[in-house]
Amino acid sequence: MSEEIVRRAMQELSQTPLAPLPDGNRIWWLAEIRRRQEAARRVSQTMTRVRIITSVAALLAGSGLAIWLGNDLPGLTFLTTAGLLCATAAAVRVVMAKE
Amino acid sequence: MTWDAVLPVVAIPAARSGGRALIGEARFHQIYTQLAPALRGYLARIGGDTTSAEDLLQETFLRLLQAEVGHLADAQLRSYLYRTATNLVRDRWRAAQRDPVVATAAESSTGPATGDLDIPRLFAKLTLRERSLLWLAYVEECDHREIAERLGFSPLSVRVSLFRARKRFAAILAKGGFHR
Repeated sequence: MSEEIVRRAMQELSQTPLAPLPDGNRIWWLAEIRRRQEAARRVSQTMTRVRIITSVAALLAGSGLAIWLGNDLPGLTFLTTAGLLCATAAAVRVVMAKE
Repeated sequence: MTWDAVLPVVAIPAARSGGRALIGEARFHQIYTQLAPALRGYLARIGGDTTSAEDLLQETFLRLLQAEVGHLADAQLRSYLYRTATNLVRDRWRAAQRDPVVATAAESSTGPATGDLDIPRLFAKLTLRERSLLWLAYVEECDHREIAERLGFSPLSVRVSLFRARKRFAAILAKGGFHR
């Protein structure tokens, strides 16, 4: 009994008119744009990582160089080394802020 | 005119490891023509909102096109689409619960009444799970195994849930005056 009532109600429900289907070509275009945006985002992320890594490497290399030269050159002191470190850290910060 | 002329040139991997790939344009159009009408009806009725069914249909197919499901057979793609569509309706329903304005808009757009009784409104009294089960069983005439695949349930669970959903909808219909 309930089976038959439900069946009839569902049949009536399925016959309710609906709006026309969206254009398939439009959906394809939207998907293509999303894919390209996603690909561009991935590339951008990778570039940011590479920039950070190179900045950190430059920071370490600069520090090492300053310490090494500091032993031989009287003009390079602890303050000079600290200044170099701060400048490199600021450069890293600027690169990250741009992203 | 090619895509590269219209959009920024960014390399998109056509195929990934393990034979997985995105769906091509020709296959998409074939799937869309074949499945979109039924899926639109499903979304309009189980979502209880005919106005947002188009958006949900579009989003469902956009997700299909972004997923690496090109290696799947048509039947598996159909299940994928129905599961995605059901999840989108569920997410939308949860968002509506948090936002009363959306909930009111959804309630007021359940579509025109059929005949002298407003069956869409009676149907909307069921839970999302019950609506999905009844639609697939009675409108798309799927068996328990197919329903289980499309909704991600076990066949046994479908059997029990469908029995309960049918009983509940029959009671709602009887209370609403549907005795045909």
